[in-house]
Amino acid sequence: MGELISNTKAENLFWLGRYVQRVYIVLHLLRKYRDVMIDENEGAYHSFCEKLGITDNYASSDEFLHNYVYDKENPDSLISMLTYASNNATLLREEIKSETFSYILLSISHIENCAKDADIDALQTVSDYLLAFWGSVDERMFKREPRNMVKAGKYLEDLDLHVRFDYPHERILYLVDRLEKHAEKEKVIFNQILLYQLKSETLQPDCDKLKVLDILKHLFVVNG
Amino acid sequence: MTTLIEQRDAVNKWLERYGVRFGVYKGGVFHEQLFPFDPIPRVIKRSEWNHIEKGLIQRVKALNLFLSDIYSGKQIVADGVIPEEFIYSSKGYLPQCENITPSKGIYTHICGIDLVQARDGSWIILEDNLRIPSGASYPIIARTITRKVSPHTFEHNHIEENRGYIDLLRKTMDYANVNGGLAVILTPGRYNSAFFEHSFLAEKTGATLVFPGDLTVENEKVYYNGLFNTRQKVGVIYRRVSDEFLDPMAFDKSSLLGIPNVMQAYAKGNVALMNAPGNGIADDKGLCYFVPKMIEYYLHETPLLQNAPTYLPYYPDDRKYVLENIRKLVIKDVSEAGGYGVMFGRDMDEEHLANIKHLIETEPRRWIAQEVIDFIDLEVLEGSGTVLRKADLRAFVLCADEIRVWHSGLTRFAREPDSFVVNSSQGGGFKDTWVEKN
Amino acid sequence: MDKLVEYHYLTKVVFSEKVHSHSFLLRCTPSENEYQKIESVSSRIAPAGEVFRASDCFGNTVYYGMAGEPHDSFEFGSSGTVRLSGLYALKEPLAGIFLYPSAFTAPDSGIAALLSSVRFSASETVSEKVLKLCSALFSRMEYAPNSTTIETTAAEALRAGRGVCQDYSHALISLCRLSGIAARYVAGFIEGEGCTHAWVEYYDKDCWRAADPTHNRLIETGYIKLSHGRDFDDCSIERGVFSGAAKQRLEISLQVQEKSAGVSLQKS
Repeated sequence: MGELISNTKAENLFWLGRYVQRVYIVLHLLRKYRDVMIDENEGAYHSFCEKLGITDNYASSDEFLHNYVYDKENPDSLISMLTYASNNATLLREEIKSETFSYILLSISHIENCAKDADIDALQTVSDYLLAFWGSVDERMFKREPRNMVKAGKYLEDLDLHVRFDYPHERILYLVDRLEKHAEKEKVIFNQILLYQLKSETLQPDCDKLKVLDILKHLFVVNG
Repeated sequence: MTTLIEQRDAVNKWLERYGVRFGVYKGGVFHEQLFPFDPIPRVIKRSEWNHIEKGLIQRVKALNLFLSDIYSGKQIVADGVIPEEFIYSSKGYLPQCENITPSKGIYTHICGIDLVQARDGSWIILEDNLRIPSGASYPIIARTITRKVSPHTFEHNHIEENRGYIDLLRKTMDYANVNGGLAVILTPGRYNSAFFEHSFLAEKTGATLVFPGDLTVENEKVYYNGLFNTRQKVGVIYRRVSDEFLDPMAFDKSSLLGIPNVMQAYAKGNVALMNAPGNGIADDKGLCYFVPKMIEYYLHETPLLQNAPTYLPYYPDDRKYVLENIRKLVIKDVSEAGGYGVMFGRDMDEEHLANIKHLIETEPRRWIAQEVIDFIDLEVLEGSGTVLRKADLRAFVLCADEIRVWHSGLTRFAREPDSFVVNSSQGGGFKDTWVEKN
Repeated sequence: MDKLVEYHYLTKVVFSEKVHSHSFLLRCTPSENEYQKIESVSSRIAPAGEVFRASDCFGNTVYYGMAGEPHDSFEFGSSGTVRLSGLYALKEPLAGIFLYPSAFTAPDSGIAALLSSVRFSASETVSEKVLKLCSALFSRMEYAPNSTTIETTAAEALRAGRGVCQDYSHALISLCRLSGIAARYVAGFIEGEGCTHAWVEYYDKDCWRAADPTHNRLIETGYIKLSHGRDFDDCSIERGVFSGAAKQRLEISLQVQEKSAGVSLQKS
């Protein structure tokens, strides 16, 4: 059995990890924002878009909740992100295994099937599938390098979103620490200088958010 | 079997869950669609299967000997069994393969031979696919799923296991492997119609799925390139890229799907290619007529399985017959594949008929004509009842230390009533194939 | 009478950006046969890793390998002295493959029509027939550089009525094969031209003789042969595949001169 993976596969694995984790975290955030938008602040989605750095062209909270989740034409939507994850996974079936892949396909078909009248609540199933996806990664991906690539994407995306949405500093510290430990395993795929900068920047409670996000953007390097 | 039918929705859910798809191009745009699965299996009696199995092994043995002969001494041509024109004017003949002896002398590692069963019960060969036949993955998946949703069906029907194909394939790869190096499956990419199968077979056999550009030839050896200039020597390439694109140095120079200079590494015996390049000469439609003659010539045996009665307009007597009886024949353009270029005389209007007749007279080598086989219909589920559809069987024959026939196969059926075209690219569906246990 | 010819051939491929992982396969050295003997030859390939030499399926010498490191130009060619006999005739058994159409030489109705306009008499030799075909073709084609591409087929060139040596040769091959004469494509050098030339070998009784349809004549000597095949595609002087998004530009230099005469005939 071959242990090597090509550059392309490494990148695909990394982006698969990022997209899956983005959908997973965004589903949490949507539930939080949904709650606020019921009776507290109808326009809270503006701040969601701003923090996530996506185009805000939704006319109302209802339109946002619908289009941001279900609209296949919208490149930022949840369904689009799952499609990107699926496009990467398609090229990785033998690395991640069909069972692992199936949780993405199940998520997509679940969203497609409840597109018309669903509330965010109906998407709990997708969160469950994505947790199962990560469980399957640990259970079934027995080759070290590909498993570490997909997790590199996950950890990096996690940190990125926690920074964007101003999570408590202790949460950020935990994620930086997790990423750093992971980088120990696969030194070559992370820019070590940026990793050091990331660590020193995030040590301060009032770290420069934009700087951290910029570091994260360039941290993963497969093309040497 | 009733329970199996009742579980149809459950089966489809599983198929969707695993993303069992194949790609088609419609109007130049790539789509992936589910390959419609019909839960009613085709059942083949053991006695019947034993005959098919023997006949297929005999056929593949002769075809492999033919390839070995054609790319060296060409004794069969010298002895007047096959006119040289049929070799040299076939697109499938590749002079670049002359005098290359593949690993262990095997050319036809994986053969997908299409058969139909005529109304009198006899099995007839439609075509031999010796290049990159696809379709084996679908019955494996169908079997996995149907056993899951309807275990009782399999308690009561004693049929041959079919998931063993994976071991058979891996054995075939390992046997061909020249140096114990990495075993890879080379796919042209995700927009190939059989990409699902490529990735599925890689997953199941544990071979590495590689894309064009992942492999390079250096110092006459093939390497798989990993991250940061790491690399691993490759011993066998199960390539699903067709001959013309395999090596831009030897074949189509504009190919972006190939491995530059892989033919040099192959000629030196530093890597195995399966199937061997150049096999197209043996499954050329124009050569099908000669396969029974090959069996007699190389094996001194009587062919156990027959071709559909075939006429070669190249021979004046056959040409005369074809022109006179074109209405009841099926005409095939030897340069086309995948169900294209197949025309039924009875369906053609006068103008088309005249046109084809003219072409047969001016370019006789380009055409073959066959009697239309009235093959049996199989029951296919539709709505709450069943309908009858034409179906064929693609049997898979694998060559390693010996020639083995997979105890299953891909049964494809036509979508429309009266249609004889079962190709998945033209909307057909598939069934599992059950072979009775001994 | 023998002729001693000295030649220098070099092609430089200049890339607009650096390229790497550059695989190549070259047919750029003269073949050795009873008509031409190589007195001395040296080839140049740079940059290159390890270079391998082999014969292709038609017996032509090929050099291949991979220049892995980044480079912005690639040079290949050869120089040497070749002794040419006064008679271009290569005694070989006939290989049947040269009797049938190939991708570039498949005839169409235009080629068939041109062939039927040529009247042969029963007493004519193969050479006389080929010369007639040459003349018929010559009267229908005009030599026009850049009017065709390396993808142009015999049928297309004849229809356009224009082409270069490659097109003339494809058309003559097509005519020969259609009239039952085995014919093959030859790439090589001639005196007085600054780049490679193409001509045709046809089979006569027991040997290959040659005709140059571009100049409408049979060949006796003076031509240095590199390779032969079914058509142009089998005789590629260079094939290469590399990584990098670069444009390529070619600089070709070729000098062929008869040693005794001592005159440089052309340079470019």
